Amino acid sequence: MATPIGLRVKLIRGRTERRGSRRGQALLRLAVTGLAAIGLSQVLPLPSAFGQTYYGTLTATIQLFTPVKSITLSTGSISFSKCQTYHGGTPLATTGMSRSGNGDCAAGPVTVTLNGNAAGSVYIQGSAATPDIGGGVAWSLCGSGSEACSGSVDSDSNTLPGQDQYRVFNTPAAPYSGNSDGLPTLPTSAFGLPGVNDTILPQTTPAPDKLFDSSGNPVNPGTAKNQVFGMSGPGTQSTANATANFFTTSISWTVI
Amino acid sequence: MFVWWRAVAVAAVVIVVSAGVASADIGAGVGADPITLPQPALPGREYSMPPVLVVNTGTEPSRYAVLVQRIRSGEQESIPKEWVQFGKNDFTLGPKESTTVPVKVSIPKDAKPGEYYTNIVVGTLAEGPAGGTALGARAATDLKLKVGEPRPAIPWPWPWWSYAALASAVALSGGMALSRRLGVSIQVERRT
Repeated sequence: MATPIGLRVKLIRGRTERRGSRRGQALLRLAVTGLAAIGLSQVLPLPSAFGQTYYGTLTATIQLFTPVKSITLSTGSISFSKCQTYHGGTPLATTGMSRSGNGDCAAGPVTVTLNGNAAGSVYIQGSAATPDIGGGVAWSLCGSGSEACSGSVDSDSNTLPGQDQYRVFNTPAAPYSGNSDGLPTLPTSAFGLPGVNDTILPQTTPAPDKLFDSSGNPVNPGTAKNQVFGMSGPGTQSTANATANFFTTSISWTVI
Repeated sequence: MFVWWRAVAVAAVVIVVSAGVASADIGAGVGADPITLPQPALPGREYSMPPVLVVNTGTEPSRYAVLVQRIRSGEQESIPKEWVQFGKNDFTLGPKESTTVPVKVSIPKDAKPGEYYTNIVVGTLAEGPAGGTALGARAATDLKLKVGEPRPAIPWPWPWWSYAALASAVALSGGMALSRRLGVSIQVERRT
């Protein structure tokens, strides 16, 4: 026969020992004294002369300056309507160029002014040119940085835009006078060819506008540049663009 | 006499038209102070940045778009566009009007620590004539931040057993303290 095993639980109350060291008692007294002082300070009035000598009002104006970088254009659009039909041909006052053969056009002028109250660097960027027909192939910008032109090389060892490519550059409008055909007289060796101080417009990433500073260094507010643009069209075009009548594009300046 | 008055009227019309076709500038301005965070950003967190001040410096109303585009190169990592959200976009400002655009940056959990940089660009949304070239004025400011080391991940909410363990620990320590205070001990003995 199994014997049951039982457990008995007892609560034993032992002798209560007074705990707490002298240090603890001192800390307790200090805390009580501090609390009492705070309480009394809330109840008892302060002396009437307390602090009066030091009261006074001084009005100070803090001038704030908000630096703003801004850029202003003299017009919202331009048109490449002064063209020669083919690259290197005699400038003619036509309103368009051939769909192939690297025809050249000019546009402008536009005055770009850096205003605001802070110096800034001016960058320029173009965009792809989209045809006015559905299913057409956009022209991509070439000639800047890694966006190489793939066309033929002309007599000036200048690689021209290839298929569905085009190139745009800006140049100072100071010599802009217009020749007998109504075309801008561009300060380059040949109409449609960028000079060394001109900026060929990139498509993907803005490039410093060399007309402001060749390295993209900041220029002061108030600096203005009057610019005209030269453009070379594609060497050849996709057949999808055969019925296109015009292309639309954009140019933007960024101050940073 | 009639001809004279007619000439005056034509001249007046010409003057009015000339005034009407005075050059209409388009412009964009932006607060030039860089937009930064005073402390390193932590992966997995979202931060409200100082807003971007936008000013129409032109002489006619313009539509503005705000976008992220790195313009200057540098050694810093580029802040991806997906990290940045703007409180408003595609808005119109009258001549010389200004507004502020709230900016939030969300740092992904897997963002690598380091210095990050990009530009916030405010530009006119110009629509040129068909067959023409639209010109756009844009102004940019710097957006900089430093992504710090991620903190040890603490799962949230905690699993149920963690609450049970915490409650047990509190009850045990409380009981021990109480028994010590009251001088009570628990004795377990085998019943004979």
